[in-house]
Parts: sequence; structure tokens; C-alpha cells
Amino acid sequence: MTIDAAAPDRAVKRTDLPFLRRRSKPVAAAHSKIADFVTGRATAHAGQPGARPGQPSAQPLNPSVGQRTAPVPPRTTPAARPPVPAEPRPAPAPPPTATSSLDLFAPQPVSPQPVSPQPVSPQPVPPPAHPRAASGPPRSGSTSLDLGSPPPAPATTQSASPARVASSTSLDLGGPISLPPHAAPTRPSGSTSLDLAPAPPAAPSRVPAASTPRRAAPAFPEPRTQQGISTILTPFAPTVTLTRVQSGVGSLTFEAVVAAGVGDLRLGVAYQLRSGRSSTVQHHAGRRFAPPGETRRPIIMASRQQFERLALDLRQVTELERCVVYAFSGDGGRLRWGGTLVATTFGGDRIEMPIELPPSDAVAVLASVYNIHGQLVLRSEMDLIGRTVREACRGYGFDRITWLDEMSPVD
Amino acid sequence: MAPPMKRGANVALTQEIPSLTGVVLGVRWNAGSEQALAENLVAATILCNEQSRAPSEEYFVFFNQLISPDLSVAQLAQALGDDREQIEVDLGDVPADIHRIVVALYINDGPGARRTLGQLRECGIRVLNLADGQELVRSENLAPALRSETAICLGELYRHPTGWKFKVIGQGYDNGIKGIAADYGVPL
Repeated sequence: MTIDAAAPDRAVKRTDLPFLRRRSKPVAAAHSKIADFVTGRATAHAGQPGARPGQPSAQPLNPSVGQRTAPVPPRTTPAARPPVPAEPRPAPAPPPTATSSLDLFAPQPVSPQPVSPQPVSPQPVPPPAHPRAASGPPRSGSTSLDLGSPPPAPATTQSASPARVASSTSLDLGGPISLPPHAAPTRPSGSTSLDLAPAPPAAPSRVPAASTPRRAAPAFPEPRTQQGISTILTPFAPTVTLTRVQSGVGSLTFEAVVAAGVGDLRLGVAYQLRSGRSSTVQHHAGRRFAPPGETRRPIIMASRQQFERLALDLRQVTELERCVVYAFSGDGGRLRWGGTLVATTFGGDRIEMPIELPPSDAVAVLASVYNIHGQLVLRSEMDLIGRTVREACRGYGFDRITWLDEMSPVD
Repeated sequence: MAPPMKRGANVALTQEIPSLTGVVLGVRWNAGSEQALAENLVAATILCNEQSRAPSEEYFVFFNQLISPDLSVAQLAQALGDDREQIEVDLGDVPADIHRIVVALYINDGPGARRTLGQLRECGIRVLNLADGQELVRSENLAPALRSETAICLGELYRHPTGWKFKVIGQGYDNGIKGIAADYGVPL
């Protein structure tokens, strides 16, 4: 059975039944702006014949969009585009300059040529010669009240173009734009202050214009050491922060510079590692290395020359969570506290912490060191906190140390 | 594969490979049975301006500062493949005022026993394409010429009118990282 498509046109007109509508093909509302708007022809992108707004693209988007380290996707260079004749427009559109301030049309297609969907081999394209930079001149007829929908993204290689259409309006509420790696986005030349679309990131280029550090600056100026000038920590300025270089190169040493009249002042350090291990180092008790027994590559080592000395191996600073330096009387007698605890960086910067405490036979925590995101923060404590090392350590939260007696941990 | 580059040799990377957008600098060494030496070796990268000086201590990239302020140079916390350390350089993101990127290897001067680079059996640097990991060039073994040095500048990336070039340096320092820091203006 064959169907004659022209049969309705040849049907006899029923004048006796005027309520019947004559079936005929709809005639395009010739050259009507509203008809173009309703039928969507005005929004069809020149590069996508037949594409309609809202119609899903037949070609999937590039999955590597947004991945910084992904291989560079194939780019379409201007020279690689096949010459395609300009597609005739379905209806003679009025000249763009003739549009009024209430232009209800969708933006005109930017490029009169459809873009080739054939990717080409990746070639380095200098930013000025980027094909997206020459995608078309801005539409001069676009107005500030252009309610037309933006042109649909073509499903070609060029569809991943981050370039905003030059005819973007002031009420462009478009969402973020996916960027292929190393793409050179261009801002719309007609963009206004009401463009709510997020700005695409700056295009990476071989030689950026200026050095603009992108790491966030600290919220407050941290106290730092000064080359050639000793940093003195006082109760009013008790802390200093070492840089990451100072915190990771060489070793950091502590030395108690005290006169003989002070008494038998000895140093020790209670530490806590990232692994959770916690104990003490105390030259006076023969516990010279941390972790205990690690003589080949200790994180902390105690020694004695003119004064007692503690050294932190900064190659292993990432293993260190925190530590406190304490002082006590080696012979159990009363100490007439005085002198200075001196910390020295590998570069020679000195941090001096005066020991100003009343005479006592208690254990004093002199300083603390905290590893804050790779930067060591030194604080002068000067705290007579307990009669024994165990009490002093517990007072500073070292509760993962088990003790043999009041002076010696169990390791 | 290209023959290993000798000390002082250079190659025009971006001129030879125009599509090159980034490189990986791989540092490798073999300390043999000297485990303490291997554990105390540190690879560091110094970003320098036109006067071959680091603008600040933030431009010293190493294990405790894994990335430069401009995010163009980053050291991997865990190297991939056979390299002991790897530094990724995004050439397009390197600031315009950075003219050379020097890779050094030094022994950390900690409280433990002292070592020298003369105990190394093998030491070298190689350049890989950041995009696909393909090795582009590698240096010769720099270890045989080392004696009492405790630091060495292995190689450098530097700007040239023709693009980025790579050069094998191989210069040792008896005074360790202090000597390198003094030469390149890194505040310690």
C-alpha cells in the first residue's frame, strides 16, 4: 500500500463543512523575526546544521577536560580546517545593526563556517595565533537585553573551546566553562560588568608576564630570625618560626650557656614522633639518642662539650611532631637559675632564651619546638613545672611515656 | 637512545622538541652498602633569577618544601620508576624572572657520622618528558670524579633565546650545601 503524500492537497474542498480545516503544509512565516525565534532557526549554530538548543550533542565531550597533567588534546589549527562554503541562511535575517534594544533574537552565529570535526595531530600553537582568538569578530548588533539563548556548544573539537562567544550579553548566566589542558581561553570582547559567568583561568604561556606567587600568604607576619642578629625570646615575644629551609637543612642545636655558679645544670628533651613514639633524651642518664638505640642515624642526639648540647637532625624533621627542652639539677642540689638557652640554625642564626627563674631544685621546661606544616616554631617556656622529669613531661602532655622511675622512661 | 651527556654538555630541549611543555628531572644515585649515606642524601632544586640568585628561601625546593611559590616546580614525595628523586617542571608556568633551575644533591650535615660523595658508586641526572615520561637525555655517571665533596650541582635548566636548554654541571662542593647556598643566594 502506497501513501500519496500530496493527496491532501488534491482533496476537493468541502464547502458544506466549513468547520473542517483544510490540511496543507505549513508555510514558513516568511522572514518573520518571531517565526524564526519560535522555530529556533535563529539560534541554530552555523557550524551545526540542524542543531537545536537543548538537543544533546552526538559527540561526547573530551574526558580529559580539566585534567592538568593529561596529554594535550588534538587541536584544530586554522590551517587544518577544510574550506567549507558558508551555509546559506534559512531566511534573510535583518542586518545586525538594525536590531533594537529589545532584540529578542538569539545571538547570531559567530563563525560563518562550520568547524571540522576532524582532529588533527597536536601542534604547538603560539598563544597569539590560537585559533580561538580568531573565531570571529564580536557581534556589533548584540544588545544589553538580548534574551536569546547562547549558541549551543558544537560537538566538535572546537566545541571544547573555552572562548566565550563574542556576542555574550550582560545577562549571561552561563555556568563554568570546561577547559582543555593548555587551552587559551579568551574573554568575550563584549562582556560587561554583569557577566556572572566565572572567569576562565588565565592561559598558561611559555613566558608569563610577571612573577606572581600563587601560594597564599600567611594571615599574620610570623616572627622570623634575622641573619647576623640574635633573636631574643622574651615573655612578651616568646616565639619564633623557622622557615622551611631552616627547618629542613642541617641540624638545629640547643646549648645551655650557663656560668658555674648556677650549679649542675643538665639538659634533656622529651619528644614525640609522627609515628606516635615518645620518650626522652638525657645525656646525664646516658640516654643520648632518639629513638633509643638508634646510634647510626638518630633524630636527636645529646652531647657535652663545654656545655650540654642537643642536636636535632633536620633531615628527619618530617618524623618529628614536637619536643620540649627541659633542665634539671644533675646533683639534686638547688639551682640558682641563670644563663641562656641558645638555639642555633644550620645557617648560623641564633635564638637566645634567657633563663630567668627563681632559685629552685625543680625541673624547668625551657623551650618547646612544634613542627607546624614543616616549619619549626620555637617557644621560650621558662616554666618550673614539676619536681621530677616525669612530672614535667606529664605537665606538657607527654602521656605516652612509661616510666622506670621519676627520671628514666622505659624504652 | 642518545649517548650520555658529559659535564658541561647542553641540549636545546624546546628547540628540539617544540611540543615540550614540561620536563621531569630525575636524580639517581647508588651508595652501595653505605646505607647511612643514602639516607642522608637530599636532592634540592633552586630557582634562580637572571643573576643566578634565588629570590627567596621559598625558591629552594626540597623534601620539606615540595613546591615553589609559583607552583611551577614540584618535587615528588615518592619518585616513580628508577629515580631516587624526581622534580617536575612545568616550563610554561615558570615565572619570567626565573632564568635557571638548578638541581643539586647534598649530604645533610646532621648529628650523625659524616660522609662524603666520594663513597657513591653512581650519581646522575636525566630529563624526561612530563607528558609521556619518555627519557630525553641523561648525564654520564658523575660519581667517579667525586672525592671529599659533600654536595654537587648536577644540572640545570636555563632560558636561552631559542627556548629552554638543559646542561650537565657536575660541580662538587667541599663545604656542602652551605657552598651551594652561598653561590645561589639561598638564605639558610
